[in-house]
Amino acid sequence: MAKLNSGSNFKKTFLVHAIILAALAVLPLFLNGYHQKLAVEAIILSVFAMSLDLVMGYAGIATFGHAAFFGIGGYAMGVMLKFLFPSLWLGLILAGFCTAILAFLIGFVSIRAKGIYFAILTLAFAEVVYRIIFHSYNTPLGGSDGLVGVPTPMLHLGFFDIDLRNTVNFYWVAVAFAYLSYLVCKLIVGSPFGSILSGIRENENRVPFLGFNVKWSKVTAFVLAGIFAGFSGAMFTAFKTYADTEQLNFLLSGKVIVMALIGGIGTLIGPMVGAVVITIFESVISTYFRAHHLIIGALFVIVVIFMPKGLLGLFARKDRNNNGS
Amino acid sequence: MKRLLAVALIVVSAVLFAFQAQAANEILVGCISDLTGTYAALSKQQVDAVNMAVDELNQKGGVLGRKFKVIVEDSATSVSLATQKLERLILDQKVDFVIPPTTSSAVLAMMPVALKYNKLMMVTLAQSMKITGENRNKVTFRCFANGEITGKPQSKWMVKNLGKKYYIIGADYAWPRSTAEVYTKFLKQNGAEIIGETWFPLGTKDFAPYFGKIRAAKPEVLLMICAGNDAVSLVSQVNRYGLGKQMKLAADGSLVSADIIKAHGANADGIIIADFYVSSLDTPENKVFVKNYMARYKDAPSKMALSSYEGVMWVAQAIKQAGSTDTDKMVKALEGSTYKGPQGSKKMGPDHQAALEVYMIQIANGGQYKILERAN
Amino acid sequence: MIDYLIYVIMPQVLHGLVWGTVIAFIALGLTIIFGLMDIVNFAHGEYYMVGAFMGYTVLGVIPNFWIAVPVAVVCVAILGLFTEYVLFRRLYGRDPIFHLLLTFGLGMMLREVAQLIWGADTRRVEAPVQATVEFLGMMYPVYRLLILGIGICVILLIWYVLRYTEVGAKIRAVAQDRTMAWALGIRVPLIYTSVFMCGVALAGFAGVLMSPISFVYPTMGIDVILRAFIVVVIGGLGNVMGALFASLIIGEVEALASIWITPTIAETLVFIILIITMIFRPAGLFGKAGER
Repeated sequence: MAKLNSGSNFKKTFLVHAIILAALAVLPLFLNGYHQKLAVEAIILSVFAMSLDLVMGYAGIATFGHAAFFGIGGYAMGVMLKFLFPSLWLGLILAGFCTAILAFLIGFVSIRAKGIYFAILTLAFAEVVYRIIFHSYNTPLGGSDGLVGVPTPMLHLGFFDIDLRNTVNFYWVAVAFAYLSYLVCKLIVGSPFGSILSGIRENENRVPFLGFNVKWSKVTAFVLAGIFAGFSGAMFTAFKTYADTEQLNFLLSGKVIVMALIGGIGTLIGPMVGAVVITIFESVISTYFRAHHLIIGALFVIVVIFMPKGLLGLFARKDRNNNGS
Repeated sequence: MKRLLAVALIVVSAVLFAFQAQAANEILVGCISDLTGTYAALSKQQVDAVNMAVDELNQKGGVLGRKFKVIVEDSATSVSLATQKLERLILDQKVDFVIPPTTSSAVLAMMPVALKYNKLMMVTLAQSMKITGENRNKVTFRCFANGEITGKPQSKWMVKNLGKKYYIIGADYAWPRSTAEVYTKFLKQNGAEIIGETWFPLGTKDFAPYFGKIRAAKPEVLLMICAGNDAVSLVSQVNRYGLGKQMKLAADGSLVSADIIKAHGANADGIIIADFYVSSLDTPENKVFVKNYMARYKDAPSKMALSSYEGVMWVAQAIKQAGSTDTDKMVKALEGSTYKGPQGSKKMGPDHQAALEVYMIQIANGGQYKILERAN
Repeated sequence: MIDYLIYVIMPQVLHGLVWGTVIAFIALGLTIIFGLMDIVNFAHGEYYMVGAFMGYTVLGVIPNFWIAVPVAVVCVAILGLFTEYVLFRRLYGRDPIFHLLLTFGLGMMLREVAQLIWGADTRRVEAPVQATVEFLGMMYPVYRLLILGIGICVILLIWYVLRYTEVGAKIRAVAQDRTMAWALGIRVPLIYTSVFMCGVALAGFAGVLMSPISFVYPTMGIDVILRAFIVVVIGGLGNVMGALFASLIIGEVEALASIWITPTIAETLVFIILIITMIFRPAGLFGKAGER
């Protein structure tokens, strides 16, 4: 995996990033209001799918409960904006804090279980979280009615403020958010810690001999993934002005795995592409076809059978390290 | 080949993404409905009724010389999809008003969006108390009943006719809980007491374990609050275990609503509800409505179909009165307005909730609604 | 005290037993399929749903429940054969996560197709036996006791086949080491196909049997799949006895707990039991540590 700043590739990587960012930045000027909204949603969800890649693609741990972090991040943001203080920064901090604690608890308790057992255990934890919120009907969280009427905040950047109620402004903030998250995750997987994770994925039993603690590395990866999922959920709530139990549901946990796999795991960018494709595809297809789940389901089946490395895998160069596990 | 497939996929998505609809001089009705998922059956009636209302309006030449056109979107029982679709209808399709879906949580999440873009929403199916009343917003109205509209007269009637000791069993989520609060309030006001409550999780298949407790409490009336598949299972098991022989059975109307009454069969016979509409209502307007609906869809209209039909008609009346599809003018015309439809005459209250006539109804003869008397 | 035991506790124990049998029905297929081919079948609930709909459809033509049951089971088995042959076969040996994606998509498709064919309405199926018996001071539907009886027979049959027949020995051999089994001349693909068929047919069987109790609708599979997964995991994936044992525990816990606590908490308790089991036995009650 080419590091961001490794010598000769630097110029080329920089150029590619600059072109993509520039293209993303001018994109909303060509879109109408609804498509701008959809684009923001897709970009925010791309961070959610990417966060899953940290555990699933790099550390090789499958988790079925990733929606718990997305949802809790969303509720944290909702509570901050609606009841405490209307600041996006504080909302993100609270979301990161809550999801970090939750992810640590779940990860620490579950990590002894292996493979599919770990996956089901995370599913169970996520279900407990879901049920607690779902049944909290007479608390400010609103139970199954969801936390609605979350105000959209101003984004304070010290010297000037951005009005996030304007969709295009939120779009640019979302692009910046996704890009920064991508850079941070890229740094993480490119660091020595990332190599340990890959080592765990390839052969867990060998890692201890190299002097690394498998358990703590896994928990750390799980917590990092949880935090980014929480950020993504928080941005989602800030944008959509509600937090709903649907964001905690196990069907979303399933969907995010699908997003990541469709894009191609172990690449960070793959799951982001997968999330964007699925989000847009679902919204568009459901407008034109009544039985849209049939088409989306068929898409999953086709991808898994014919493109096991995801959409991105099709365009991967041979010299690229193929990490589809 | 595979590469080609992927490229084709992306290209198709991009083309669909950029697809733009043409706006004409029509009054556009946005109908967002949960056409897939748990509420698919009653959502189909919603769309059918909206289409029928629009066709009838167009046959009479439309309103203000403009014809109506419906744009249907499937929100698939998903809150995020429902808000997406609302944004699409408002921003992309430029609809003039919106009929939102069944799911209360979706409607609650849509309300701020509709307010932001100042677009009228006429709620025809969602029941949450939070939609109207204290938490109402400027652009959201409801022509469907909420728990209080039916619960208040029903409580009074039940205490007078059925008994004073009540046991409540319901699904454990926001709508049944808040409905139960309404019943509890009005039952107590009328001098009855609640001697027990059981709240089961959605999707419960086996209710037998709760019946021992209910029997032991010896209530005079068992009040059931749930909907859909849960309701079908609950009613069949209440019947199978013979609870109806030991106590009287009453329920919120959703327990035996028209989308599931066929599934109940004779199991629901004897249950007493209060509701604002059944298709056997004996008024000339209703007879015409039922006849037309039967001719189109080969089935009797449910209260959901009626409400969706009346919702469109009511807004059309407001547009005519306002002389424009400007949201502010429509809102002004709707507030305090009276509409006379198949169900009867009703007034839009200042809380944005239509005040509906309510009837006491008993299920009899294998799933027929029998009107006992008017309740308010 | 004795009254309390007989009239409060005993009926709940019976409810738990019946409910546990139903869960076991669905979980058995799930665990056998996983044990043999490493497939996490997220679409298992949809085979259950298809079974129920098939039963409903047959009943519309021939109003005899005991004809509808075998026809529906055969239909689901054919569907299983078809899906295994066309889809699952291509993924053997790949990471179980791909099966998850495949079955997730397949489940969506089956639900949607069911809604297209049969519509979204809840369909009613009459129980073949309407009688009730007076039992421990309450009326108990005979049909439920019948489910209990049929369930026990089927479970015993499966146990017998797996343990004492040649086919069972072959299946166990493939589950243990497929390469070795292949080398010994066992036709592994045939075993895979037939076991997959039987596994989903069991789910279909459960679907028809449950249809008079839970009724029939396109999303009925989602309502049971999580419960079945929990049972399978608590028992140890691929472990038949474990799944049976765990089904009974879960059935009883849910029934008994609802005497003292609210049903919602009783249901959440199921997940907490799973978590606690996993903490102390990371591969399930009967699973061996290190096994996947």
